Amino acid sequence: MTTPKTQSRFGIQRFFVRGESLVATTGMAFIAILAFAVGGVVWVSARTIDESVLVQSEERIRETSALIASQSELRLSDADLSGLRRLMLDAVASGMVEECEVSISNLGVIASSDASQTLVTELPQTWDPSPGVEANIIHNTETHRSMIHEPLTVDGRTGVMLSMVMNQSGQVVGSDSIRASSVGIMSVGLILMLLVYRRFRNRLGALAGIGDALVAAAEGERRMACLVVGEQLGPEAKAWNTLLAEREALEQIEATREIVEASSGGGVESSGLPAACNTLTQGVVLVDSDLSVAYANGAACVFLRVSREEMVNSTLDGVPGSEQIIEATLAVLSNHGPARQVIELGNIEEIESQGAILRVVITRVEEEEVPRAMIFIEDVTQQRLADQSQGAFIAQATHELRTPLTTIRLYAEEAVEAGSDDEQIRDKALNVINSETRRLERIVGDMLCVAEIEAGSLSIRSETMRTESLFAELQEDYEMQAKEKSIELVFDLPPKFPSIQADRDRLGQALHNLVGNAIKYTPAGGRVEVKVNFAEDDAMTVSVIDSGIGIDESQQERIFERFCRADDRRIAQVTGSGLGLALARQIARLHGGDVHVESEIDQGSTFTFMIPGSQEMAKAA
Amino acid sequence: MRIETNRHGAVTVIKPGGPVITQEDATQLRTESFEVLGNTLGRFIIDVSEMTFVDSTGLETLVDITDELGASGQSLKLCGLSDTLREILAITELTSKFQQFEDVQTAVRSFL
Repeated sequence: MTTPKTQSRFGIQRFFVRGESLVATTGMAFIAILAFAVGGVVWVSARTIDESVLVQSEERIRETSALIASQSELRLSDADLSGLRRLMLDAVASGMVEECEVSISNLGVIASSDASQTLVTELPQTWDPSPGVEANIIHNTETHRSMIHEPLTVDGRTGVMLSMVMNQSGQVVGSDSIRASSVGIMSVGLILMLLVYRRFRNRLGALAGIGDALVAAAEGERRMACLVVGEQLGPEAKAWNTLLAEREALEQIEATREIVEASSGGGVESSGLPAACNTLTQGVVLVDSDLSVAYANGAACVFLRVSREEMVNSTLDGVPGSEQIIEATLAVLSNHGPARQVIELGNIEEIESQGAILRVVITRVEEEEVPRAMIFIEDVTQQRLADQSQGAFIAQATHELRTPLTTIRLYAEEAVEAGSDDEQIRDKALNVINSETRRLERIVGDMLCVAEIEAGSLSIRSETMRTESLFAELQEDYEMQAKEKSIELVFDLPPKFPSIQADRDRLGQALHNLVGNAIKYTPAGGRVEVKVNFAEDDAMTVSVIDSGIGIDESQQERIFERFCRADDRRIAQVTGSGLGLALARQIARLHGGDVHVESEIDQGSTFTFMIPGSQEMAKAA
Repeated sequence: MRIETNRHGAVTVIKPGGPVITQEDATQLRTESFEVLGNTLGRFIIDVSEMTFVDSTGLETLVDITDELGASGQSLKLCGLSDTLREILAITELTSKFQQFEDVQTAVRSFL
């Protein structure tokens, strides 16, 4: 948290060095200093050049004036006035001298570069020898001209003065142009700098803003609103804001974790309890009195179909489809409500749409001053379906047992009534009783077998056996039943039966179930064929081929499960325990073989029971 | 690759019809498994009896699935493993990440 002091200091800083002005001011100041430095250097250089030029110019003026003076004195000595005038003209023509004249104090100009100035045509013999002005040079810096006065001596006589105006502008032009071009270059540079600054002002603003935010963060500022930078300032500002958002998200996750730790009673993290709860396949949710979720493990989030973050940071109201849980939880949390509630979400009829049946147990946690509720969620879908299958099995098994028992009772009564008077009726009754008793025996045997499978104790007692009698019994047992249903029952047996290693009782049990099923699910007028083959290694394959109702492809694997019958309305009226095929497969597998089915709806089915030869069986064992 | 999906009660059995040796196979198995996982709250088995071999991508897929299930305290149930597959899991030290069953029925019963 920022204190008022830090805020104030920060405010002052913002005022003076706010944002873009910080960088801009620094940049501008730097460039100004640079410009002044360059200007100063140029100025001093120009000044030095000027002085140097003036010194050189003065020397040249002195040399030139001395030369013209000596030449003038020679011509005056010779009284060669015209030669003197030519000298004046030549001096002007040389370019360095602008004006040039020779004058005598009392006669005036005797020779001049301007012919109109000359009034004397001949040099007088005598003139006033009084000395005129002393030799001097006067520089006019404004016009860049120098006025030179040089007294001449002609044959020892004084009073003659050489006057010249000389031009210095040619020398000073150089330094002026340096100054002018320097000013021009600096002006252009300044304009370019302003243009560049205008172009990058936003980017600089972003950097400056980020700099301010960093300073503020160092001062302790953590509020997102105080640290963000306007995104219109460019990609740097966007990247900075993204970083801030990610940091805030991480802080929230950390805060959530801390809440979970706190709600778990502190020190729980170190005890590893949350991690342990996450290994539970049951969902665990701890809810406060206001229905806010204090803790939820992974399984709970999966069952309620919400993410952990959504779950922990919200209330139960925010969890979709949790109305029943909320109602029960509120009841548990109320002062006079039950301490424990159990509800089930979903039902078997709507399993396809709902996906699961969840058992939810809600208990009150009394340790806290304000009560909390612990919710346990368990996926019981498979259990409920298994319960349903077992219920159906009991109903079917009861029916299966009652049918032969009823038949036995009726025929027993008939046999008793007939007594020894009608042997034919008595024999028929006894045969039926015998047949139904064996059927009953098989059903009870199947049930015992299932119990053994459930207990994991089902085993086989392999012995060397021949199977002729087994198939003969099968044929005998089902011939009557097939005849009653007008089904053609055919046994395609090999001419020779080799000895095999198998458990005779279990083998008979499996084959009875396969043949019994074939007759049961083949309508009247159909055909059932039992085809037996032996391979060279004595592996036995029994194919039970029927022309029955067939099995849908989606159900072909399911029918081998215990207590399961194909989901087919055509078999609703046919009784069955849902155990026969499961037993047949289990027995085949205990012999090292298997049972497979190939079927087409309304075309019939072929169940193939295979057990390997003795050598293969020994390997499997 | 052909992938069969069968229901055994409330349990879905996913059965790849061959080895998982290409990126495409692995992606297909991953897509199918995660879809079933979402729909069944994790009540599913992968029957690998016809998956004779699996490469690193396929293994990664299986590990991803079991990790996803791990969020709810579960782990992937595999059934019908061949010796080769068992060996691959052992060599890569991944055996403990999966629950293994002899056949589909036993695996389905584990949900009871």
